Amino acid sequence: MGLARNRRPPREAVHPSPGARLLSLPYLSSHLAVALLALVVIVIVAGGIGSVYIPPLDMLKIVADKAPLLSLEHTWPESWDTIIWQIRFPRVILAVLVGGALAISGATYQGLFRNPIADPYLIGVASGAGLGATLLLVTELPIYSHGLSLLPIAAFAGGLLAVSIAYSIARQSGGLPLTTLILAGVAISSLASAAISLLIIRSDPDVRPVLAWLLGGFGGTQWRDVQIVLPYLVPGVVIMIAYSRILNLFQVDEDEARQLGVNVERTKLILIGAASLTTAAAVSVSGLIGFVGLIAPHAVRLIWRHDHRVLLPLSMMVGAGFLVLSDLVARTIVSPSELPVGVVTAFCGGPFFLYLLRRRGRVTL
Amino acid sequence: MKRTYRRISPSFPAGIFLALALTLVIALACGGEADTPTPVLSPTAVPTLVPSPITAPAPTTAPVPTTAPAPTATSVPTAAPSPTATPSPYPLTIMGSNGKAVTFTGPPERIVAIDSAAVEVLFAIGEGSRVVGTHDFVTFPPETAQVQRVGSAFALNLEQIAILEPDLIFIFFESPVADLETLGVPVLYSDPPADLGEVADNIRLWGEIIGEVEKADGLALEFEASIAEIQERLSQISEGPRVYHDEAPGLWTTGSGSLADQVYSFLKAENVFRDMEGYAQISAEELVARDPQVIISVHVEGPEIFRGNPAFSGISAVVNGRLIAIDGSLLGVPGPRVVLGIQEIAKALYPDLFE
Repeated sequence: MGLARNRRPPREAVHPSPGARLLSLPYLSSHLAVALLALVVIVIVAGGIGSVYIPPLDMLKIVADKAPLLSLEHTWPESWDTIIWQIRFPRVILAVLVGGALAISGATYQGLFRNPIADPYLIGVASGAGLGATLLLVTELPIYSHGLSLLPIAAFAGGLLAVSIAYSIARQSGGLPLTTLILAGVAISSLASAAISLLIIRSDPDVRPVLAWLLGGFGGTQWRDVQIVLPYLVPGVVIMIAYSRILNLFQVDEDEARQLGVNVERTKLILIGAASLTTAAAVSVSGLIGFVGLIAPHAVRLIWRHDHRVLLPLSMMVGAGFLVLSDLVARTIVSPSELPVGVVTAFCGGPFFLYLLRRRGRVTL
Repeated sequence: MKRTYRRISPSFPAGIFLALALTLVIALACGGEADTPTPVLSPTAVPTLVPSPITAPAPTTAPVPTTAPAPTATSVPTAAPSPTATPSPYPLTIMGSNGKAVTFTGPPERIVAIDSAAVEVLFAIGEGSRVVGTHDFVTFPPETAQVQRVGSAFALNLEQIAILEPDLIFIFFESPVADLETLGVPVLYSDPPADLGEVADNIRLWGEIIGEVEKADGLALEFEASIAEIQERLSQISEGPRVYHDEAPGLWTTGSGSLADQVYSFLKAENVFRDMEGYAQISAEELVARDPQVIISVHVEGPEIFRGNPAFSGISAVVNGRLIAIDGSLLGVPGPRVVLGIQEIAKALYPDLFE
């Protein structure tokens, strides 16, 4: 895969000197600051809009009321409080986390595999998670235990299991040839997809829960879901960002990275592990949401730059903002009903990405 | 209307996603016309035709309150030469919902009934032995465990049907009719009953087909009497509670056009998502804003889900502990057991009136 050779990362990213690192710092932080600010605005706007109309002023009051030291007169119905704090914000925050997680995992996979069509689901996470969820739904096992859905746990386990199988098969052939890993992942995905189809066809046809899950969505999100994924997302994201400079080295050549003293095999294991864990955690609470992990990093590459130290955090912000907005559309466009957010990400993301491609020409890593 | 989906293409992960997304979009696009035959073989298949709300009528003669017009399939009296004293109903011509007539020269003895409601009716009038084949998801009555299965909506096993040598194939959705007709056996397609009145009509229709008019009429009268009794008790109620119908986890509900919705109107309750059509996934905030007084779940986890979510803690139904789970199959099949479902819901809505 010689795609990377067309465009190398900036020299200072590969061979950083103290001066270069200082130089890149303001650049990095100014972009991140703008992206972060935009994300905060998106979050607040998305929190203010929903199928139930709450006037913006009241919405701001409800938010301000939660701030410490501030106590406002409750001039709004109690149910608005619930709607803002227990329904909209958990949902918006979860969309931030899932969008960010999918985008950064996608960027990592693309960098690691040096493959522009790599996405967070590349090596079997999605279909493995789907199989886990489907198995739980078609068996007699309870889906809920004490009001807590067991679906995320089954999906999480299925996703990680699929990746581990692909990984250990690729390992058998000595080292970790990434092409072998991708092929093993594709084979396992096909197998798992076939099993999902079989289970759905052979079981009682009330498959709406599993279909809704497979299509992805944030309906019924609670703060608990945020609590569930956070412990998995944070370490994964921290590891990926910590390795972003080494990812730059990978763009040039694995051998060169090796000569520079990078333990290539261990790095691959750590990055695959971090990206898969992050993806599986995101998928387990949101279902399969396509396009975010593919287009967010490419949008950043097309508009800004290729240095993974900037690319990874920026992708995360872009992915998060994109998913929050997509979910906003999903939950308001056919109000009081809802659409699966995956439908929206594909419908909005596809054309936007095509537009970017047309405007910016060739895609490089 | 419940949608079931075709096979997911076994390809790479994005494939699953795209296939599903497409299916859903298509399903949504044609979701409006509820009477489009969406092939669902299921004990929870609720017919969704034009909503004909059951309105309290003149209490004098008709025991069943319904504004429903004709039954779904109509019998056309054919000139029956009857030399004997008790006229034989045969030959008998029944018009299917697709306009195709099926003529019976005698009562069908070997029926492949691809319809949960038909199977329930036949067993209920003691003629279950005529059912030689049915679809994969029939579960009631328990005796049906012995009946040969012939596949599901997507995959009807024509060879299996042929080898059963049926003299009638009955089906409640249209898409496989042409395939079935290649077997050279009469195929009667009839839309499922769309409202409570048609449930009784459907029972009588089966009585005519198998020449057991009296038995069927008895069952239909019993059904109508139970409905009338419930209505009688409701006479003192002018306005019932606001109800959220919890169809499946993930905030799936049924709007107008569904049997469940008609049951709520009949029970003078207000389905808070009446403005939706067919099956729909609704937003949590909308549920909070509409504040139902009772939540009826047709799946066992329902009450716990609503109790366990802090977002719903302010809903009247949760505050007052009026979260009730009922057996979903009762309302799912438009057969004689519907009345049991109605009784359960009536108890849940008016605990003082029904015990």
